[in-house]
Parts: sequence; C-alpha cells; structure tokens
Amino acid sequence: MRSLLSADLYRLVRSKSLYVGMVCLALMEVWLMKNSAQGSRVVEGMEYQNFFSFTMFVPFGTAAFCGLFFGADLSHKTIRNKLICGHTKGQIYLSHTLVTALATVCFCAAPMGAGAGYGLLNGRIFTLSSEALLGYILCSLASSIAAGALAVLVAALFPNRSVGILVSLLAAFVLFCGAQILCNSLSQPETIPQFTQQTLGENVTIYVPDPNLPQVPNPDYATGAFRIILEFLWKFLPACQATQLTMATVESFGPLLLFSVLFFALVTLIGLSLFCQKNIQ
Amino acid sequence: MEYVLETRGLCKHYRHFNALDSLTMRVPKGAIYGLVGKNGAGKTTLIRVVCGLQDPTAGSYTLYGKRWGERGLAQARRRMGAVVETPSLYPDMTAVDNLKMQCRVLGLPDNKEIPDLLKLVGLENTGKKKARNFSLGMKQRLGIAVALCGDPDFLVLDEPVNGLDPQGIVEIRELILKLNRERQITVLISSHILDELSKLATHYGFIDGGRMVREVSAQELDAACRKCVRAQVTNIQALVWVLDRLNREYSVVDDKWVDIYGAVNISELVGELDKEQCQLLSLKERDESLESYYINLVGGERDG
Repeated sequence: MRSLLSADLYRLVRSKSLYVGMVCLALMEVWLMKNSAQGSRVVEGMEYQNFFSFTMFVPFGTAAFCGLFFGADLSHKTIRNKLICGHTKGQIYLSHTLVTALATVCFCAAPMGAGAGYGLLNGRIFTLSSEALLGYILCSLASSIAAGALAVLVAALFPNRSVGILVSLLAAFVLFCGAQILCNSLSQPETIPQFTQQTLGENVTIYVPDPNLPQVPNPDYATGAFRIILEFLWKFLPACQATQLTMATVESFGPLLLFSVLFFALVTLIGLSLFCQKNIQ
Repeated sequence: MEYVLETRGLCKHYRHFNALDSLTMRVPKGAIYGLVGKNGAGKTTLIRVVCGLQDPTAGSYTLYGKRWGERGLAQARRRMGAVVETPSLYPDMTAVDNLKMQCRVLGLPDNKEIPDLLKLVGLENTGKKKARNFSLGMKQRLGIAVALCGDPDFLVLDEPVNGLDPQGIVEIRELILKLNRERQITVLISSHILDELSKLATHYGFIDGGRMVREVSAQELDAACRKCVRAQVTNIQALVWVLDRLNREYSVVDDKWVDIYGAVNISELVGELDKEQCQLLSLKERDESLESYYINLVGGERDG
C-alpha cells in the first residue's frame, strides 16, 4: 500500500491536470469575488462575498482530475502493472482515493489563497471569529473531499477515460442542480398570504397580498417524512453542504463534518466493493 | 520437475460464454512455454487469470507453490512480470519515468536497475522522448522492461510480436532467448504466429475452446513433426516384418498405412515386400510442421 501511494504521488506531482485545475479554480474564485464586490454586500465580511463559493466548483475540478488520473490507469491499462506484482484492487482503489483527497486539498487551497490574497489587496477582511473561520475552512475541505470520493467511484467504474470524465462531470452537475432545488424547496415558507384582486385603471388587474386575510398553507412546503428526507439530504450531500458554505449559513460545523465523513466512508465502501468485483481487461 | 505455474480445472465464465473450460496446464521452471491457440481460444483469458487481473470462476492455479486465494500469492506475484496484450505504459512519461513509476509500485525507490534494463531492451538512448511517440516495437520492448522491474524469474508475454515488423520480431525473439538463457527466466508466451513460436519454445500447450488439448515438449513435438514416408501396402503385417528386418523406425497408423522414418530406399523396400508377396500401393512424403500438427490436433479433437 505504501509503495502504491508513493507511485501515485510520484504521478500526482507530475500531473498537469492538478496544476491546471488549481489555476482555473483560483481564477474562478477571484472572478466570483470581484463580481460580489459590485453587489449590495460590499461592506460585509469576505466570507459573505463568495469566498467559500469554490466549494461549489471544486467537485467539477475533482471529477475532471479523477477521470484523467484514475482513468489513465484504466484506459492505458497501467493498472495491470500494479495487479500483476501482487497489489490488490482494494489497495489500488484506496491509494487513488487518498491521492484524490490530497489533490482536492490542493484544489481548495488554491482558490482560498487566491481569494484571500485578492480580498486583502482590496481592503476586505474576514468578519467571522477565528474559530468560525476555521470551521468553515475545515467543512469546505471535508465537503470537497467527500465529493472527491464520488468522483473516484465514477472514474473507477468506467474503463474508458472520456466516458468516465463525462459521467463524473455530469454527476457533479446533477448534484449541483439538485442542491439548488433542495435549497429552494427547504426555504419555502410554511404559509403564504392570500392575494386579492385590484384593478388599476380600466385594463390593468394586479394581485396583491392581503394582510387582513389569514395566511394559507404553502403547497410547495415539504412536510412529514418527505421534509425529513430533504433535510437529511441537505446535510448529507456534499453539493448541499457546499451551498450552505457558499451562502455562509452553516449553523453547526460538527454535524456537517460528521456527514462529510459518513458520505466519504459510504461512497468509498461502495466503490471498493464494486471495483473489487470488476474484471480488469 | 519443478513447476512455476500449475492450473487445475481452471474455469472462467462470462455471462453466456465459457472462456476457460476446466483448463489444466503446467509450466516447468526454466522453460519457454508456448501457448498455442487461435483467436478466442482462451489464451489471453488464461493469462489475465494467472496475472490476477481476473478471478477464476472455478478451479485453481498455483504460482511458485502458492495456491490462488492463499495469503502468500501476492508475494509470489512479485516474482513475475507480464505484458498482457498491449504494453501498459504511461504515454506522457519517458522510458525512464515509466520504469521509475514501476520501481515505486514495487517498492524499489532507488531505481538502480533502470539503466541496465534500458540497455537490455535497447532503449538507453531514448532521452526525453515520451512513450506516446515510441514505435510499436519500442513500446513492446519498454513494456518488457517494465515487466522485468524487480528482477522477476517468471515472465508472461501475450502476443509479444503482434503488429511488429520483421526487424521488431527478430529483436523481441532475441530478447526473450537472452532473458531465458542468461537470466534463467521462465517465459510463458502466447502466440498464434506458430512459425515464430517454434523458434523459441521448449514446451508447448495447445489450447482450443478454453481447454488444454495437449501439452508437449519441443523434443516430443520434433519427434511428432519429423519427416516420414507414409506407405500403403496390401499386407500390413508383411511390411512390419520387412521394416523390422531392415531395422527401420516406423509407426503403424492403421491397418493400411505405416509411417516410416528416415530416408527410404524404395527399390530395396519393394524388393523385400515382393519376397513376402506384398505389394506397395502408394508412398506419400510427409513433413509435419508445428502449424499442421496444431491443425491436425485441434481439428482431430473437434471431430472426435
């Protein structure tokens, strides 16, 4: 296992996709922070100005990186060299997972460094306490590493590198969209005001909320078991965690970290069992 | 005899296809074992299973005395190297980097053997050229060099001369012979280019439909393939008496035909047969090559 890790790290430091990914994510972070300065939250802390928005985009970088890095082992069949000399599929999978986790840390560090540098140069500061800031940074890393585990799983299942990258990016995109839908669904108010019709002039009719009428239940408000499931997914899925981190609305760091670890462990276990059954060509 | 690899009733089933069907074989230590079979016979599947890329569905195999599933098999695998189908290389790395990578995989970070390996396979002057820019022959040789990392004493080569030009074929053949003679490396080599294989192999395994049809040594094959004259006579017993009297080596094919080995003096044979009131009906010269031996063997088994 140690020798496999040593070999994969040797490849990692020579991997162009790692450095390209880091540069792209750093530029993305600066661009997002620059745009946030034009909004209404200029006076607030840097953490509210898209500083943690990189957590939304790191899974895309990790998906592409995994497809290229792990996919190369499968599509160029170099994985055979590892199996022939006695390494198991499980060891190979775990080694790739660890290397991907390290690459993900680099992918997070690059935009954090670039964002902080850009913010400080423009006179912005963090307004959160150092404990809270540390919590955000740790949760960003944990969430991104958990998303990386999913990218490893997808890359491991597809022997064709291009297909693997495409599926991995699609999975990241679906999770990203799913997180936005989930966020929208959970932020719905339980009740909504009733509207009354008002006529302006001869031809214009508008509907306005009537404060004199009692509020009615919101049909889009999720209730019961469905709401419990949505709330669980909101905490459990890395894309949802990334949305919370981007909006800087994390209430408690402990559960978020725990769910990231659980997601990582679950996905890695599933990936291990599937990969160990896979026939290598 | 000591065997590097033994398989017993090895089976590999894919959904609706039996790639290996109770295959049993033994590769003696120090041999160049030629695995002969047409496309789809199961050669590559056998190699994949033996190399640990795929698990057998049933049966078992033993590598250096360690049975499949035993704890010590991973350690035994470190004594083998393989090139399965195409060489497994990182195309964006140089020859040296590919070898460094394999040394790390094997836990040999000092890279001491890399210059010797490159020299052995004739790639010492490739410099910073990436593996993707190598010719097919160079890739094949680099693949063998990667397989030789860690100084293995069992080398598995699957169709190593496929797609190579004549010069490349000669280079690979000489390399394999050199490894076998100078480093005492046991080689399992699969090919359907029988003429090429006959220049290398000391043992043969004929595989068809996922089954081992026959295992023979090169000496046994030479004996089976040597030149002979097939004679047809009216009285087979008379011919046998005559051949015994003339002290000739022969083998009775059936009740009409006899194979006579060595040069035959036809006048003398006809004269001796005449004394026994036996007529020579026909004579056919036979020169069985590995190819015709294989076709007869596989065809015969199928007919049977």
